[in-house]
Amino acid sequence: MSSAVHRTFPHSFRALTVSGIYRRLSLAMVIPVSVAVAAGGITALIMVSATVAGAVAADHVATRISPRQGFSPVDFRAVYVGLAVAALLSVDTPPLVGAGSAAVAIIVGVWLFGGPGLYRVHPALVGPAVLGVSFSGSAIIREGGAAPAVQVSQELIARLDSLVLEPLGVRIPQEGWQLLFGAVVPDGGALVLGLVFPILLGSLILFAEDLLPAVLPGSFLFFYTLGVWLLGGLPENWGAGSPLDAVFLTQAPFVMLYLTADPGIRPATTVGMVAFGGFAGTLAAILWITGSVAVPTVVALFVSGMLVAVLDSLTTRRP
Amino acid sequence: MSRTRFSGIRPVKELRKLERGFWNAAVPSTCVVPLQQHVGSSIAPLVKKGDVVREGMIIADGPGRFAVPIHAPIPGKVSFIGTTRLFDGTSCPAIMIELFGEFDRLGRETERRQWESLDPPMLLESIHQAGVVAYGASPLPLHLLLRRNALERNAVVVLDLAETEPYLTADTELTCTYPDAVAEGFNIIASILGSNGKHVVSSGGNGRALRAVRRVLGRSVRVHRVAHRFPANLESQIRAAILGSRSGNGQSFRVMPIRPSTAYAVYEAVVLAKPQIERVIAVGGGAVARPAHVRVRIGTAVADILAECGGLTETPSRVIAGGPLTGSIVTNINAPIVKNTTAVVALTAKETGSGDTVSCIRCGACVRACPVAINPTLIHDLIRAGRMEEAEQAGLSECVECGLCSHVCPARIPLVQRIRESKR
Repeated sequence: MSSAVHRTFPHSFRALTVSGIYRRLSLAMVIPVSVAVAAGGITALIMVSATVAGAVAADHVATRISPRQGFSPVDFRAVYVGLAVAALLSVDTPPLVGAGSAAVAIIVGVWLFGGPGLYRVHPALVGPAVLGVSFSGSAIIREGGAAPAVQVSQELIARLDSLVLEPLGVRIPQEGWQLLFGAVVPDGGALVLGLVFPILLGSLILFAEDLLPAVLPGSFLFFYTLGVWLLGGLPENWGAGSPLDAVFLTQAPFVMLYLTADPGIRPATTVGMVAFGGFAGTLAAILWITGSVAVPTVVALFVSGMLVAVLDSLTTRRP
Repeated sequence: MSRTRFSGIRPVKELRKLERGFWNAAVPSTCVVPLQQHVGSSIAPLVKKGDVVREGMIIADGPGRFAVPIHAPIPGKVSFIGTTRLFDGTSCPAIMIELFGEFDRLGRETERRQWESLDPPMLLESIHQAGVVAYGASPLPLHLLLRRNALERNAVVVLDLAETEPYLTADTELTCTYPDAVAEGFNIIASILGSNGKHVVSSGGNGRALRAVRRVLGRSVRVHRVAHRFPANLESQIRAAILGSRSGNGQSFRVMPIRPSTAYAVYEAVVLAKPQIERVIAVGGGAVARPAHVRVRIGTAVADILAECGGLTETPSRVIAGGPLTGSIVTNINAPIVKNTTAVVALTAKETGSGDTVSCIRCGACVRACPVAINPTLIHDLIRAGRMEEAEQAGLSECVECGLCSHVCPARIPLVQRIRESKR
């Protein structure tokens, strides 16, 4: 940029830079991933470390080959993708598979599209998808589970019930407590599955730093729960049609918040984001109800990513 | 009261708020008065070196109706006639006056003129002789603007209280301190234009000034509230705000936005017969010791104004004349302020937040921020590819150069700069 350009306005810029965005996204994602690592132990820690290292190494190699952009160790783009891939894998994924997934995510998901900003499908979905196709015999990611992420003593719950909730006339069934404390499956389910509260806690960073327009996850959530409710029957018939199950027992919160927060994979305009969220949410609801895929929200986001260019061309002015 | 919502961004908050109210800055011992402070024909000095001038005396003027006279901001002796360097480093003819003798206006009671009996041509002549320029993006002679709109007889006069750019709060303070004068100046303009409808457009964050004006103008004006976003006072936005009300529906009219400082200058010119020799400006930014508003004489050096506010606490990253989004960078700290200067802002590196340009990540922040709903990234790409016709079709000429796209861009791509370059 010439000095003449520098001398013209604007003279102040929004605080966020590209690396700042990915640094904050990584920081937000560290919260649920850390909780999952604490629950999963050393196995989870090794898997996460290997996956992130794989992403960073692949980005380093790709940037050395590509003249488009240099590699910077403080550029957290690869860290964010690595963490997202790790969050989508199960704890018992071999570290090498994790590192390979992350490397594929970076090489295929980012650089084969042309580099940062030119991809439309979230790279973190590309790596596991490629590996899923390669190893079609064994599901790499599964959703649904029942083991509580946070072990709370039954005595404590009973005491809370009798001392606080019952006098107020409130009674929460056992399934309710299970949903409240999350339901994660360390053996087979995705790393952050069911960690709703850590996910929501981390998402505070996303919203506070204006990284994610609320309209996108809002639209996704609305159409997803509405679709599940309408397609699965009335709320009295809890089961496949339960919107709560569809949210709490899947990766929906993680996908809606952390993956759509990547600026490159969402439409540019607010109207486009509403349409994108609506399409992805409806598709995810159909997939969840039909049970045709194990990971409905992930697949829905993957498919919807291909619509971004169309939505952008429809909602922004073009020659 | 109608309420309108626009695109744009939530205005960035100032690092340190400016003090409310304003005070008269110390009269400078030397004033350098540039002779080209307006858009129009050039003017020539009417005095020569060594002449003694009185406060408010015409010291430069030119032939033709596009010329605006320049007045001596201080009494004194003309010590130099030549060129001076302005904020941006460009040269301009100027007259230097060294303070000497007594003031004709400062500290004295001024007789009030009854303007109601004057006809529009006489009012316009008073404004012309006072050297009033319209505050805004381009400092046009106000009498010309008013004359053009008065001839068409279809102008709607609007008091613009919707300035939302950070640090540009001098108009708010002026309105809160002198609501009667601002309102009277506004009424004079409406009288010249023969305007049937008088409107006030105010942003959500400017309630103080709006309340002050409403107390004076009462029900004689229609008030329109717009969302507290930047920008909020583009002509198209003000027009949309007015069209949203019943009074504007189905009518073809020209909108004439008037800033409070313009209305106040008109009041001074017509009622007090006082030329435009001083103005209230905001002095802010993280590097200023005491961010505040001060009334300064035209021709006062930027350095003197910063000193009036306690000087600088740290080396500023940039010093700006005007707002941080649309102002001009000050390359010469000793340059004099002109009639159109609204603020002097010394930004710290933290406030500036500039950085290296990287590849676009298609975040769409520029698209969402753009107040005229064009796609700045696409236009930028088309310009770089040399596809100017397509860039034009994508809305190149509709860009209002507000700078928001560059401001919000995380990749620090100079979008508005390149668009502006290609338009010229």
